[in-house]
Amino acid sequence: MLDINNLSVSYGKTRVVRNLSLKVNDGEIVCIVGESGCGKSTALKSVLMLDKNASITGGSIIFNEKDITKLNSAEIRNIRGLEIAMIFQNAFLSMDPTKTIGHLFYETVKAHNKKAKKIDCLKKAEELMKKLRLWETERIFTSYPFELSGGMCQRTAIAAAMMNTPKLILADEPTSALDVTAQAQVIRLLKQVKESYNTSMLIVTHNMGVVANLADKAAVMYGGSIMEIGSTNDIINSPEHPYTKALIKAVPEMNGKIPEAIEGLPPEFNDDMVGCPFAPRCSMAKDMCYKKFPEKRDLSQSHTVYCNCCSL
Amino acid sequence: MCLLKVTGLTKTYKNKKDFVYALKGIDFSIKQGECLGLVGESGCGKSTTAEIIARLIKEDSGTIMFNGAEITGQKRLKCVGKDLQMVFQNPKDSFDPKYSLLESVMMGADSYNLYSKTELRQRAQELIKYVGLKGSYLNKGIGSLSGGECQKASIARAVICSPKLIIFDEATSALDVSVQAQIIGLMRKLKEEKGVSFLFITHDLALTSSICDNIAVMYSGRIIEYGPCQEVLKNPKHPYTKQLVSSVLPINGCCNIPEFNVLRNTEYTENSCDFYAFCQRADEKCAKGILNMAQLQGRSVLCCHADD
Repeated sequence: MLDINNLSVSYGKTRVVRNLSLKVNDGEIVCIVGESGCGKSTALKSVLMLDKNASITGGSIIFNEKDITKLNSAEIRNIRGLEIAMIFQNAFLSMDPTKTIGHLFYETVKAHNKKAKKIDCLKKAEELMKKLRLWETERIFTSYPFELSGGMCQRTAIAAAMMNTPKLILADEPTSALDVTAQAQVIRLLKQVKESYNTSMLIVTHNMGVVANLADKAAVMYGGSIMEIGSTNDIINSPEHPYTKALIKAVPEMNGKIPEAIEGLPPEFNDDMVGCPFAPRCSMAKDMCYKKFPEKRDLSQSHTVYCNCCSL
Repeated sequence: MCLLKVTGLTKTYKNKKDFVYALKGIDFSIKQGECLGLVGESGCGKSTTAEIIARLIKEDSGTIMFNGAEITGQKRLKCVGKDLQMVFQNPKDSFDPKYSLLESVMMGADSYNLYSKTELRQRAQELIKYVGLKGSYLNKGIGSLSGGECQKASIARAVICSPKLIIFDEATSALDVSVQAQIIGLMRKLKEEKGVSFLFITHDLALTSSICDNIAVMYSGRIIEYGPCQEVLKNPKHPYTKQLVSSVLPINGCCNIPEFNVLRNTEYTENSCDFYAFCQRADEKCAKGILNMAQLQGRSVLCCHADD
């Protein structure tokens, strides 16, 4: 469905995404996980060319046999919202405060179909909300965004994104701004969307719990590159890369386990970053790690790791 | 010894038209060397509690005993002074970007005249090393540090006068997990080596289990469950705590996320239990809202059905 190949994205001269390759299959939920500043949001936004300051310096993004990087802005606008929908971290901020939620649903459809009628849209929206087990539709449609809670806003935004039944949903930290109970409900809803519509999703998150409970496949990013990619089970239960291992150990758990810190701090982006970005914080790093970016190694059909040292 | 004792704390914020009842009677205490976790969702009154204890805002009623003296109604410097410090969620906002790291940390002792200038400088340098910041950062501007480094600096600043209690108001929420774990490690070190007590405010339940002795769960301005951290998380009694615990996404093993959209054609009145609309086991008793405090095996639970 979506095939990202050797993608590189730069802000000015600074390369923030380096040679990223990722595939999203039909009806698959893929999570990109990593810490702040690792380039995960930049990578996601470049799929819809949303960031004007970022320039794609290499690679291709193939969606439906078209290369998105080569389309002009009018063609991309036809894809946005219709074939690929996007959900942001703070749904409330991405809604127009002067319009009701009902209007938002109408607008989503009207943007791609000028003849759409509001009544039909609302009827369709109501069916959709029922299917996704969101109640109180009438109250929601007549409310303004600021009258809803954060969790409700986020869930409504997901429903609105589904109005055009897109094939792919991109979500940038969809649960990070929410409380735990609201977060759990959003995860539940996204699962429901996948089950009902077989929609593919590419989700960016920093929360390992979200990955474990939602994703089919996970990609761990660090310093602009993918370090390890594999099925959720591979990543959580048998991680290979030293960074993935350390990241999982740092996650606090309910059983009173003391989270283990990773020494040092995340890297800053320089123009001339060579070698493995994790090397300065890695306990297994050798000389060659500082000099050359690690080669891709396939551990199994679905599990790939970029590391010079581990499990050799 | 009881370091902090809060009884019957209430606070109302006045809007243009209506009142927001932020705290509806909070009771808890912290012993010397204890870490109490205060958890709950946004808007439940966690930060209000912290700010009242730190004397940053005034309470409506209730008493706070700190270190054996009543501090209610008094000014911050007079009553709590150096013994109570606070670390905030966003470390960058709590520093003046004009100053260097060393000056910023030294500033923590500005109002108290405890040390001579050379002594203070030496102390600050030691503490900056203690919290895990590099010596080469000393004269760097505080604005050029990253979020995690800044949070360590603000801990160094809080500790410089050897306080008895430090309030962490969502101090780890804005950080990445790997850095968050560093801060937790630092807090454990402070607790063991310096015997500092903590009031640790967070919305991350899992995080409390790695550091807190006791935990107080807040909902809508009340503490609804209080008890030893591990026991509350393993075996929650209050319906809200149950819901909260089941919402935490574990990294190993899938959890079945329950549906919380309980819809009720409510006869919801002003007296109803705050949690009535979302409670799985609400009935007529809850609609009337007769809250009971029950003591169960070293825990207290505030619930309409606490007796059952």
